[in-house]
Amino acid sequence: MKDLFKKKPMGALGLILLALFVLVAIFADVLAPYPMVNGNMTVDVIHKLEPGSAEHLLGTDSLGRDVLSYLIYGARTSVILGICCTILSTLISIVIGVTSASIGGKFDLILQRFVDGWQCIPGMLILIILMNIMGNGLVQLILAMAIPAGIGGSRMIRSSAISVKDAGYVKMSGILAGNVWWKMLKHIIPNIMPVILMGLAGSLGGVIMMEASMNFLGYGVDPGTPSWGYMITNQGRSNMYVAPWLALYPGILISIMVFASAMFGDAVRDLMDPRLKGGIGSYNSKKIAKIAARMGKKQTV
Amino acid sequence: MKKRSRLITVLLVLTMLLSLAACGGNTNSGSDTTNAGDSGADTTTTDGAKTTDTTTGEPQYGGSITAYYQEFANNFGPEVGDNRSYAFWFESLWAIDWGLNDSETFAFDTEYIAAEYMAGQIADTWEYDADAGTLTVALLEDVTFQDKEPYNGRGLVAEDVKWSYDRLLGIGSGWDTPVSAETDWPSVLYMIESVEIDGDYTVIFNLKADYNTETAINDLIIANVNIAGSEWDALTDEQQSDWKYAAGTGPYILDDYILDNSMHFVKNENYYDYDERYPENKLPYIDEITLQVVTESANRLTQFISGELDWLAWQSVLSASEMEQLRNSMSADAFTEYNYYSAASGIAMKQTLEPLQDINVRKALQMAINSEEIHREYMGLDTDMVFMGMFDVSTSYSAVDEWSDELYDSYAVYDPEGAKTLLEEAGYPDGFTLEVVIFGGLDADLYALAQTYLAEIGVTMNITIASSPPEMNQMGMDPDDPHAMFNNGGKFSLTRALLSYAIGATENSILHDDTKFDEMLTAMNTASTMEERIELGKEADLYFAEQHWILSLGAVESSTDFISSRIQGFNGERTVKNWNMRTVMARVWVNE
Repeated sequence: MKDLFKKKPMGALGLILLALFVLVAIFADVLAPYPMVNGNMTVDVIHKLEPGSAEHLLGTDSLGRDVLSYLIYGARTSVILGICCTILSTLISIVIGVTSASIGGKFDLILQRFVDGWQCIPGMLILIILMNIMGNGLVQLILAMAIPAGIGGSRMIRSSAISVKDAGYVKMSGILAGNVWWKMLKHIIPNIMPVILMGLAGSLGGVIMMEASMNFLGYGVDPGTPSWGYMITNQGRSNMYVAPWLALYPGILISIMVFASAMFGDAVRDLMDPRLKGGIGSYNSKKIAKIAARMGKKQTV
Repeated sequence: MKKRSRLITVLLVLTMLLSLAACGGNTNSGSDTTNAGDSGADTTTTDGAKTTDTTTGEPQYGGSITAYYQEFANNFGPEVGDNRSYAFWFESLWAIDWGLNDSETFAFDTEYIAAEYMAGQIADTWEYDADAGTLTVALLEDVTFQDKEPYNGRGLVAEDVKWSYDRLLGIGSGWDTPVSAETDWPSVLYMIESVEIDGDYTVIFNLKADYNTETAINDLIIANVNIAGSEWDALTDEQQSDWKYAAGTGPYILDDYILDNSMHFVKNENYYDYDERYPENKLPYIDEITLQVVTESANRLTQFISGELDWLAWQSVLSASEMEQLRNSMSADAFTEYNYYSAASGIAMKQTLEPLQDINVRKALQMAINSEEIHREYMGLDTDMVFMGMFDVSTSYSAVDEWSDELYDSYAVYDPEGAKTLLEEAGYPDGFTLEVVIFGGLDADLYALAQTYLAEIGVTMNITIASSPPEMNQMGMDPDDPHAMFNNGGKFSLTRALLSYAIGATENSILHDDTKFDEMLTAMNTASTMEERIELGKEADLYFAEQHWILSLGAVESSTDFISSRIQGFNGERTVKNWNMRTVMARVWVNE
């Protein structure tokens, strides 16, 4: 963590922003100027589609709901969706990738052919099919996005697991009568944790974008559930001529979240990738210039 | 590099801030519904709705139009009837009298049809013989099929009419059973015993003894039976599913078809009919018509504003705020709008769902809906609030004028506390969960608004948006499915009411088992005179309203069709799910 703040300030910023979103989601009821009542946003149809004012800082939507409050509660949907989907997809990737690599043989062969076949089908098509089967809703959306992402992401996990599996210390653990499951849990997974974390951090942005796309296609959360994606696709598009802010504000927030996630993911990758540690790539240009100057002095001497 | 990237970032942020500052301040929320009356056309008012005759100047031949359409059934057979008004290649024996260009005579804002408003299309003359129990129809002798397979331009004869009716009812021409269960033709043509022909151009309908009545003749004339020929039966299943074999005697030929996307029509150069208003003018005027499916209302709005769509009709095409945006974004003379009453959106109170079986629960739900706020603030209407029962208020069957104050208040008055009390008395002190399914073309915001109202009385409404009306119907009409579905009452004809509300009917989403109501519908159906039918209809309409089988979200709406000013010769006649779309399209022209 210290390294993150010291060496990767943009990554640190990304982490801070993500943490802020999580805090906003958790304390939405406290932060929102117009909190939910009975699980629904307060409507005020008389004041619909009004621009920013003292009463409604970011204006109101077509039902007179306060846009700022809507966005705050929308963070909850996005955060829940993002975190749950990311964790679930990572778990699926680990289960498929690590077991495939650890067990190997025919099991690995068959499982990877299934993954190959799955990856031939366009991702959006799979999502739409799954949503049609499961119906709309937050849980269904999480499952529909996590399953394909998890299967697709298992490839990277599998590659990392194979490289660790062949390490000497893992092979020697067999002497201690460790079975394949023990090896997976005790050796393989802990040693591929950097790869797992990189994937975890980097995929959050994609999930948020995908949620907005799914709402655009009509698959998503209940219309009464605040969601940034739903605001863009429903309110924003229908009122683009008179209330363009309804698309702009959630769009900006989605962009910030994606940016934060990407920066954080890049930082985690840079910090945890051993190939980048200590080598010239881990230094910035000032440090390189210093080293070059030192080397030049030594040579002259 | 760093300085440059900082500068670019600052410029981008400044641009965004400027855009934000430019936003807003242009809203026009809560404005009244207005009519674009500056087109120079006359405007008349009929029962609160407005119609406008856009006939300015002489008809012109040529041009093309693009009209929005909701969905295609992907079925080209002649048995696909009144709710498939995209089938411009077909015609019927009768059609709405276009010569009735007078809104005092024929309420153009409605699709309510009576035989007195019908004129012959393929039929030339017809005579009802009560003693013999027959309706004898003499056909026009110059009607030809389109020069396209399977008819290849041959002349239409009486045998074709007989075949068309026999096939629907399973009473001859090689058909022992009705050809299709999709559209319930035996219910619509309940009065026909048999069909005979006398020579090449005379058809005789023999009526069943019980239905040798004036009302039955009325229903026979208004039934929109597509006339085709027996060559259709000789086609293989694959050919019948191929648009290249879709042909009839109609004014337009289906030229191209993209599944669930668009239909393209070209003028039938051999069409026989002439314009009633300009008797020397052969129809149709327009060269090409494209029917375009546009599923998103935001896209419909944008495409109409940009000129890609010329015709926005077929009910609730735009939400209230989108209509405002359209009016604010286009000049008043760029389009004409046709306002008419339509039933408010609502939810069928599915009787297989336990809480909804109790009338007090249904009343409580209605009391929790703030109809006044929806009507005035959300819809932006300043008209009196009117509610519909089973029949549209523009029909003779509507009993809305006979509603008691108590009945009216049960729909109009917003009383969440009273609603909670009713729910408590019904055994639901903590409310319950109501699953509702709507389809994407509806105004989801309106349902979200209803969600907040119901939450106040402890009823949690979960909304599912189906990807299409058939999917919504599948869920909503399944007795084992927990979803109640969209329904908006206000039917325009007895046929539609029977199909929607009779026990076991194919389109029944209320799924009631009320035999008393069913008997009312049957009595209406078997009435021997129109006067008797109207009286019975009002009774049934009143009963329906009293049962609160539909949760009305607001009062009767002012629905609006938007037609580009390029299109002339349109008298405001409703085309929504109408039987006369082909008649309308043959008689309008484009003024470039």
